[in-house]
Amino acid sequence: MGLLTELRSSISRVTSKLFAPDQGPKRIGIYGPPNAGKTTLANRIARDWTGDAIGPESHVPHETRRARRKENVEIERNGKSVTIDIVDTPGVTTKVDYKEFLEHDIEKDDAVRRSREATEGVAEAMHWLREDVDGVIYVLDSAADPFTQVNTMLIGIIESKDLPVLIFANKTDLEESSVQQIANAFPQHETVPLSALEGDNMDEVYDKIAEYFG
Amino acid sequence: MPHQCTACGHTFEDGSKEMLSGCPGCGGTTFQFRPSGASADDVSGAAPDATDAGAPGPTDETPPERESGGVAERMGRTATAMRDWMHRDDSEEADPTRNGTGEGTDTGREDPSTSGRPDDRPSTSTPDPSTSDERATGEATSDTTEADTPPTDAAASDAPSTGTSSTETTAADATETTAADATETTAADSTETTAADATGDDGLAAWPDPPDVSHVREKDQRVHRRRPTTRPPESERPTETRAPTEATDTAANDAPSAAPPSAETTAADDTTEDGLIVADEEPVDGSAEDTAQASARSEMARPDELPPRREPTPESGRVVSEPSGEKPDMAELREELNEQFESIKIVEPGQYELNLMELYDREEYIISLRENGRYVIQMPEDWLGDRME
Repeated sequence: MGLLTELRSSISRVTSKLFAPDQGPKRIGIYGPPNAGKTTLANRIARDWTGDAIGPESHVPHETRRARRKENVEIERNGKSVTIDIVDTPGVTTKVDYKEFLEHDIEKDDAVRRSREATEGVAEAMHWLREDVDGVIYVLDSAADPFTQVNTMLIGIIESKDLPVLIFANKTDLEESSVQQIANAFPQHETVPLSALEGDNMDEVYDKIAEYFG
Repeated sequence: MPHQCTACGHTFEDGSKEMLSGCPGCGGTTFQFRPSGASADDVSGAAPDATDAGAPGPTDETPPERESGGVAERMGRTATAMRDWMHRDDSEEADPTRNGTGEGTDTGREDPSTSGRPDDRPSTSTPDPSTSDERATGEATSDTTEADTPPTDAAASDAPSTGTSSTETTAADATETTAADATETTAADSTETTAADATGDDGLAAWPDPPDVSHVREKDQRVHRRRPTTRPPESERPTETRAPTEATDTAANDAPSAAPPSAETTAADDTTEDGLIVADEEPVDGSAEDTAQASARSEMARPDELPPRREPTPESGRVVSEPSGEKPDMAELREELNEQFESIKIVEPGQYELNLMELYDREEYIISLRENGRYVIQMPEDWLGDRME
């Protein structure tokens, strides 16, 4: 029942926010496909402003299989401070296959379990999107094709909810990175290039976060 | 072999979308569903039920589809829900007053159950003649005592109105047709036929209510869909068909006199519908038959026997599972089927396909997946309850 309790408390928190929208930090969900660098970004932000991390990063997709929160992350920009709750969500996908994990030297049993958890994670991420977030940071691997069903669908949902959204073109440290391709894919939204891993362009990242979610 | 086309025998994997637009092989739209391994258990489980209870509607039966997981499981759940409804209705039906009061919605709901109930599970599972006979007699008696008189009244009063309504509203509406049918049957029954009919009548009498139509229709469709599952092998049927035919005939004949002429044509169709429902919901039992069932079954046989009658009734296209059904129904059916596709499909252990929109749209939150294809969810009520606090 621990999970339920946790959920309930999270819900009641959101509820209180619903009834008193001006109080408390906004909850910003970090969304995106698996392996886009969501956790790396979340850790980067959390470390920069709170000193500790949110969760383990990995090259193995679906490393984050449960949404993780970091609350009261206070970001200072231009003398003002913006406080947000960061929610690092599992990567969203339409297919989960355990065979994907086998390539990363994971045993079959473990891979099957991971894929089940990853699937649960997607369900959780979608549920959070429905119920619990006030804004979205959409993280994309700028070295990968952004024109995917998942991206289109998620951005569409986010737009339909009128949530403020920032597109982060991550992994600019990679040679194949093309920020322009990301920007072209979603011209209606602001695209911010960055490398969460290297910490490149984080100043602009925080400026935009403060501007969009403050 | 979870799904099989009843026309050509083409089989489909569980969750196959091919069959949504009909069998690719022969265009048939009737499929039977056989979860692997489930059938034997279910049958045995069901049989004792019937024998013990003796009553038309044993309360606790497990739908045959239950264990197969995934879509199948869902279907199974729907089946259970349906059956619960029906049983509830049944118990209520016993009360003759009900008919008199003519509770629209409820009564409407009852119908399918009523007509189908008696034969339910025993039929598929146990072709035991003794059991069925007993039951039949029991039913008959009870019906006669209780239901007989009141139904007649209800039928009499209802009949005219129903008839008219059906006439007015285009015959196209299957439900209404059914209503007309019901009335007719009732009339016929009251005059002559067995008490068994009475049961059918009770339920049927209620059908006329226009408001219910949607409900009824829903039900019908569902039932139809499921029908393939429960449908008894063809071999069983012939035996039953004979006696029933008589009953149907009588009903049909009588009906005209009682009801307006327009209703007549409909009547034939209606019977069809009834029959389908019966067949669907409950595996048809060889031995114990209501008039309703009988008529149903006779309907099955009818195309050969009484072609002229069937012809004047294009409205029967309503019957979704009939391959000859009208196209509009297909669209409806497809929509319903599509809705049943899961937000998470387990292709095989460790392989999942996710329907993001479904996941996003659903209010309940899937907390964990189980290996066997079930999942644990938190229902939205809880959340709302918390919110209120």
